[in-house]
Amino acid sequence: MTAAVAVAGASLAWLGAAVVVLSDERRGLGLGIAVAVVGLAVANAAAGKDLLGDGALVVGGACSAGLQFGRGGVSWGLMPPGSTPRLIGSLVALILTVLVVGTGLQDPAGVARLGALIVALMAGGRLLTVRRRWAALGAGSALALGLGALGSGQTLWLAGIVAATLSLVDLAGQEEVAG
Amino acid sequence: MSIWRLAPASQLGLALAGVALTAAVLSASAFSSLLPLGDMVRLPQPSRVLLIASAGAVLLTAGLVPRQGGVEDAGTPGLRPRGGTPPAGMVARWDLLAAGLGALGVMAVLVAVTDPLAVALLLILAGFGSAVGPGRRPMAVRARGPALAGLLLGVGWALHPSSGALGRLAALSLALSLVAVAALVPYLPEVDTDEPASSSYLTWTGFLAPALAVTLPIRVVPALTAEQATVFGASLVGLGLLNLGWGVVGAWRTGSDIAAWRYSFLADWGLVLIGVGFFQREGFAASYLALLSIVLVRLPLYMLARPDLPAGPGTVSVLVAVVLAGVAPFAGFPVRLLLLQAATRVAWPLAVLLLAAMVLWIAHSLRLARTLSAPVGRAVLGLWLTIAISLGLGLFSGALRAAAGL
Repeated sequence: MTAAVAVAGASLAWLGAAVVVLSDERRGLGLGIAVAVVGLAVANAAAGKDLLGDGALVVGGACSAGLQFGRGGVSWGLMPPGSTPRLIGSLVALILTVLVVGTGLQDPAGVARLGALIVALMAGGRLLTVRRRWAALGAGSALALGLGALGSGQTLWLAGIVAATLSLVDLAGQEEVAG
Repeated sequence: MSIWRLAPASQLGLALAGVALTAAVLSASAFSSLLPLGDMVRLPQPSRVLLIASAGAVLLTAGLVPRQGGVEDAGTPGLRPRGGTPPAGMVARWDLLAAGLGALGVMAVLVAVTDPLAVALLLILAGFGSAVGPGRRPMAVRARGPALAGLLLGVGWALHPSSGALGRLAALSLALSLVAVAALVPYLPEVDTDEPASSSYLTWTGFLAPALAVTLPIRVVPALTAEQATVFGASLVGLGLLNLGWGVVGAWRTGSDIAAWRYSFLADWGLVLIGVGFFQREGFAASYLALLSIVLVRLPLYMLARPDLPAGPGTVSVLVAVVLAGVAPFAGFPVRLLLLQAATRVAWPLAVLLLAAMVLWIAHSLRLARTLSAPVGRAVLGLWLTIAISLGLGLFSGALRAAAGL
């Protein structure tokens, strides 16, 4: 049963990371972060990780998603024209990660690790390709959440704090003109 | 003139936070076993020395950097006078001091945290924090290097308990994270000669990354299997040779003096990576001394360089060239000696490659020295103080190694 929950959580985390990669607006990015952090939290809980730390991860992710969502316009910006390579990249990232790291899939902890790894890799990929400040900070938050979910206890807390802090950096600064 | 009139509150806060964090790390690590989360914070001895050396470098560069016309002045919003009230030079120095002390605090935290996954998370935060300031490139681009380093470190550390190919991949990821954090080849960002160091990747290459480069191997290598350690070491040696060659040839052949200075950091880092990758006592000691030299000699000289001015009398040029070339008795000499000693033990053809690079090194040393041949004002004191430090590092390398337990 816990294995099924972990698989559901990891799948949700991948879906959230894919939305982060495929969105070109703040609302879409916020939605992606929210879905990803819920997925990571579910997978971590199924893997038996510290629930308090898991809660801190969710709070950090919720802060990040909420601030992106609150500052966004009316558009979701999901899968805009020209995003086909990113869609293919999201699918390839999933397949490659399962193939490479898939040896630990028989237990919930391995599945949770796989979900966290996918989120970290996809968010990292997004971070390396964007030029807009808010998009980079959102991807940075997702990256922190994914990396934090690879650990336990204090690392989960730290990931939540880093994700929330990056959102505050976004809140404090002015938008740059995209170069 | 009151410091309150010179510095905006945010800068003062940054500087005070940096000093407080550094002091807390330096003192807390001594009795970390008594603290509630003591196992999370521990400062290795070489990192402690590098942290103290970095604090010295901040004071040296902030106190003795030339007022105008230096490598760092062109287009630097942070180094321009604000509001017209205080003298420009004082504002520039205060900006530099505040930014340096803030970075020192970040460095203290990064080297004190024992869990590499936590370090990876803090790297992402520090990367965005350092990219917040004004700069020529967008913030997203400037934060990429440290964020990539965080990703590689986090993923590598999370996967290192795996066996087989995945374990070897984890070791490679850990080695690449060390290269990414210092913005070296293959992650070398485009060299923009108009971009000041305060917003360029050089903040990491010359100041933040050295302490991490000495700390991360201490934390990571004991956790690796023999097979993973081989991959880690071999990757570092390969990347070190690549950076050494790239730096030496780049600094010699590039058209711009500023770019030549920035390439010269790569050459130093090449020696560092090779030394760490050898897994020999002498190799690690060479890396540690090379990192001290980057922080205390190359970085201050880079900040003091004035490539826009015509070269002055030859005597100073020759002396600076000797310092930069690593000739005895200056800082680079024990580094080269120890590295060659370690290389001959590991594989003698490596020593031949290193010797060739060290000979080629002389070409760009002469070129860089010419940018420092006509110091004015405080820069004269800064230049001679840096030369004296280099001499000290060269003469007392044994004592420095002993201070770090190497």
